[in-house]
Amino acid sequence: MSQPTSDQAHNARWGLIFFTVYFVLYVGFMALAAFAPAVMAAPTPLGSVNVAIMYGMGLIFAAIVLALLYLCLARAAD
Amino acid sequence: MLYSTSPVAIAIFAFFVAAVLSLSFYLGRRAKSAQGYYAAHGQIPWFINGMAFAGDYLSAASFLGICGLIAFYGFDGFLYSIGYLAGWVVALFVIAEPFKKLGKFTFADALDARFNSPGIKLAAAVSTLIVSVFYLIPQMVGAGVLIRPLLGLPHWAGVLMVGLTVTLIVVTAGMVSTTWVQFIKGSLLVLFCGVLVVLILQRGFKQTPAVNAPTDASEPAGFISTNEYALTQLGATKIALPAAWKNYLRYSLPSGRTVTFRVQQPTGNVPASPILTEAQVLSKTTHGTLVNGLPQSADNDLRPVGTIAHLPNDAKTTGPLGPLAFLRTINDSTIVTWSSETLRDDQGAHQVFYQVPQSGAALLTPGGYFKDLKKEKLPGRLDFFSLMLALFCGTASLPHILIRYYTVKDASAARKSTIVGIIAIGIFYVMTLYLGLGAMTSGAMDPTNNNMAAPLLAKSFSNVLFAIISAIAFTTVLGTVSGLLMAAAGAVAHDLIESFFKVRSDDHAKVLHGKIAAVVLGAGAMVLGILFQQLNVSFLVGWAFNIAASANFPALIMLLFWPRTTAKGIAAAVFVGMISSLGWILLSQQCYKDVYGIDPQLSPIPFSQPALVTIPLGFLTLIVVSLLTQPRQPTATSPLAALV
Repeated sequence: MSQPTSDQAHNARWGLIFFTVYFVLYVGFMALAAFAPAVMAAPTPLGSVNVAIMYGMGLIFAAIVLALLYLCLARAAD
Repeated sequence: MLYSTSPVAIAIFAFFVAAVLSLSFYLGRRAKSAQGYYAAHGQIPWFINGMAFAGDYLSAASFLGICGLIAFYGFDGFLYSIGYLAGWVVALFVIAEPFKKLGKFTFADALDARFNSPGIKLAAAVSTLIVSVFYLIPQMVGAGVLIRPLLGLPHWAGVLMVGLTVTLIVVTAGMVSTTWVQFIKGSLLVLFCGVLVVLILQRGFKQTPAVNAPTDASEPAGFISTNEYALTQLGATKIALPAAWKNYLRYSLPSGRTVTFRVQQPTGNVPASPILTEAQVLSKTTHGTLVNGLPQSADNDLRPVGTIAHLPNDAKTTGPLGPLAFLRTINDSTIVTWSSETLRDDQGAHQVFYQVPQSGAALLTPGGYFKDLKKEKLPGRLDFFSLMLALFCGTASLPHILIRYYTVKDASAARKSTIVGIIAIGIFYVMTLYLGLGAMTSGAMDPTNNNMAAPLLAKSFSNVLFAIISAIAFTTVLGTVSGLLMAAAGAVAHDLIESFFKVRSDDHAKVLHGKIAAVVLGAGAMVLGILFQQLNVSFLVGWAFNIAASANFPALIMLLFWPRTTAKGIAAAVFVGMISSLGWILLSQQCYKDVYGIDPQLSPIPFSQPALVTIPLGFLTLIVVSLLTQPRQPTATSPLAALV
């Protein structure tokens, strides 16, 4: 197997960075749900949505946003 | 519950399924060779391929299972949506591109690319087989669930229909999961669910008065009374109940029907009479199946459930609502959810469905299903973490998902198509929250089975919509099942028989092996689909994710990122992960209760999702065995070792 090209290394680096960001968000969600249920039930400034729903929806949107960022940053590797 | 059929619904369903199947056959025959299959995709635009990802991934589990979980338990169903999507993030950012560098197309070949080891071939083949079977079970359950309200046939009939259709397709070497077909299905599923969400928002909510006398079979159940005297005025006589029924009262009406009430002692300081909430009783006795004392029939059946007891400001209806107002209204309402328990007396076994009024606010926070979360008890928390971990690591570990990623020509198109897929899947999962909450309050739910929530929700709007959505979901099941059967049959024929057992056969015999394997596996999956029918389909898929993540994820990650991984380490990790997670699941309380019918308290397992234990176990096994079996000469380093 050949050594990675600099493009692939670049993509992999950004991939791991984005993964880590998402992982932190994900673990945050799990920790809140397990250890601070009162926070999850608290209302958010939006009024109609509690933290649990906002965070949950936020995770879905974060996945989309990070994917789009990756699209812009990744270089076409061969 | 029994279901009546509608000829219009059946006609639309049959037409739709026939159309999709014909299209699949036509396109499948044109792309029959492996070469053709992959080459064709090189010309497919990234948008089409992206939607095909969505069509492939959004199986029965997402549509039926998540909607059902949310409808009955609230927020916890949404956890599956979050987890399933998070898995794609792992696949996109961590696994996909390095994996593609290995240049192989199947999971087993990729694991073995560096080592050429029979141990890995065996481990990967068995792992593919087991994961495929566990992924097949919820699809089969889903098929039965879709057929029941549509055709009025029992669950096993739907399973049989899917099983026979798919086995026929696979044996005649048709291809149901071509990219174009998945694109069509994916787009239609997202589109029609969007329509459903709009209808749900337009319909708004209505408060169901709790004072309907329990006579009308089609009105949702939910009668609440505080006055025993009023009941006797209706000509009802009280019946004495055996000791098992200590929380209940029962009255007999002149027609012979009985009405059972669950007694709730009032809370608070002011003494008041107990509140009687209507319960429904499904009895299995020597006289057959009884509902509320009389034989189950179209006129005497369990009534649908899922109503709102109180709207904010005691309004009667709300009218159309926006998405945020919808959530706010639920938050401020009291919703009647239903739970059940089984009581046994000398008449037989009685499943009693009783009301559990809950505040919307409680339903919109985690803990409805993972009850221990609210009580802050350890097993519940571990169960929850375990599930989220399994979902996170599971997508990237599913062999039949990763393969999809490589049917594009270059990395740039692959990336774009994955992102289109993530967007479509993300939008769908946002919608699942509204679908589930809409189902919860639709007054049309079947209390015996939460898998039926989504089709019944569609049915509560229109038979046509119900038929179309059932058809889309059914063809999705067909596609997933045929793809899985082919992957599993391939694992048996190619990886096991040819590569591992080294049985030399000509092309004709190889194909025959594959077909026999497909038939046997299809039959096995059908039997299991009938056995597991009481379990929620998303929950079952979650188990498949657990096994895939435990068996494959450690091997995959270490193979890509740790240069000292050895062949024996990989094989050992796959086996240990697979066996430990499978054993855990088969000994869990859920299996005891819903599959074997034994008392769940006898189960030795503290919580139901094994991932938290078995994934680290897999990593540990791999590291220890690899370190013990280091070769004398240094092996080639992993291509990405420079990065780590």
